[in-house]
Amino acid sequence: MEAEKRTGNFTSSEVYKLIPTGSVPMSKDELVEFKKENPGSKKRNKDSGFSELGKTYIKEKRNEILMGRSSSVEVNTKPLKWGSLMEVVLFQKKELGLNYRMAHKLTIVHDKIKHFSGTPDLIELGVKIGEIKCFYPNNFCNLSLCLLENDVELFKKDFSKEYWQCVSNSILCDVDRAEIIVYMPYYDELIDIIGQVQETNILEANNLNPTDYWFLQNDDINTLPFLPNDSKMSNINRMEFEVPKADKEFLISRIKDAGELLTATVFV
Amino acid sequence: MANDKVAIKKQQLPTLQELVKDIDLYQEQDKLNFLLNQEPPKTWVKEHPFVKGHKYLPIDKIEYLMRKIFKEYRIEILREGTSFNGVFVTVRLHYKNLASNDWSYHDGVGAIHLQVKKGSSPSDLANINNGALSIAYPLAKTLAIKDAADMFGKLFGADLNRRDTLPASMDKPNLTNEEKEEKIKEILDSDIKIEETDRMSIERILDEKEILAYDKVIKIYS
Repeated sequence: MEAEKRTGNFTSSEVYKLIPTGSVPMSKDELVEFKKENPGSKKRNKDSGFSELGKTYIKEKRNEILMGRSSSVEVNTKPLKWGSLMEVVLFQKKELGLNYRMAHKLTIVHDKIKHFSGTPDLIELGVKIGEIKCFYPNNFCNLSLCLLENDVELFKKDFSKEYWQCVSNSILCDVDRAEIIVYMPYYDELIDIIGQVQETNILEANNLNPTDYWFLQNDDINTLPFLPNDSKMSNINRMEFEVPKADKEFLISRIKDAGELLTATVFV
Repeated sequence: MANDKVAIKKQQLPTLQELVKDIDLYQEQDKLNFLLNQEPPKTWVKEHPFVKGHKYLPIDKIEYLMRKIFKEYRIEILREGTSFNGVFVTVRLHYKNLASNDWSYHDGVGAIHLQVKKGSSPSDLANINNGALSIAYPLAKTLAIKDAADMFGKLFGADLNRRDTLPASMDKPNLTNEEKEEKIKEILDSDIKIEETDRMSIERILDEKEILAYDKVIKIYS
């Protein structure tokens, strides 16, 4: 049911594909005008529409509408399974407080903008959304270091996918703030998590499939992402920021434009 | 035509709650299993006089444990007979399950060679000792009882001759959502110092039945 809400819709986790603009050749008149203003420039194209990445994404959504199903098959790799469990584990931590609601299984469809939906991890109603990222070690460290700079522009530049996901979910939840949280358990925490998986119903209670998590008990622990207990990096790193209004408006305009293209290609 | 389509449904594993109809009995059985899988006292464990390194619990200890734990038990001899140069006995050990109060059983088999005169080949049946059968059958029966009792767990000697065995552990009791709600209400009513914002959040969690947050509240404030 939740998956159906995503079919044919631009979703928060992928909207970054709609951000870069494409380029088209200038018309003769435009070129003359441009040369007047920029005599030394060899540029012959102008920014317009969507990049190849965006066009491919729009085609994917077209295909979904035509087929009535997701254009990709469900992939459940170990890092994805790991991420789903860690979201649950992090939500249970007192560091996250009690204001957030876990919303990672609830897909929100925008009531006014067509073809737009998303699934925020956390919501504090009327206040902010939260995005949890439980990456494998290298990405964990890169994102953590970025967040520790507490610089929204840097986050936007280096982690564009995650940034626009936050912007998108803040639009869907009609809030002005967003928080990005990155988590990797310490070794002792990981041991505790494995114990919980073995001895409690943490998986079932959070709608996770126990058969997906055999690897936690069978794999060598060194193949799992964890931080040594004395690591220089903290297990939880986060940054809260005011979502720039201009970026919200820009994203809305991109989704609307993409939606129009989508409608035009599907219903010709 | 639409009805001819094959419906493909994702197969979800059943949850423990769906499998277990009587969760109380299930948990009682878990406690009983935990008891039955404790290590037996070291002083009870004997080493076989002829087979080096082979450990066993004497039958008197097995019978003691049966009487002490189950109170009621019966031994039924299912079959007996000869096999090669020895005899065998199969038994059914009936016992009253403490958790369910129902009668249940484990089967066991025991076999022992017939004693022959000193210096004779074990297969030389012409040289069987006097009274060999009357010694062998009760011994085979004893071994069969011990074999059946093994099935109860470590306490009855199940893992004495196994390596790399796991220690006994009990499932942690899983509270139902209703029990968790009760526990959270108790927390709210208790003297535990709760920040006002947290109190409001906890009330919201209860009001809106945010079950995914129940464990967190209990963990933070218990």
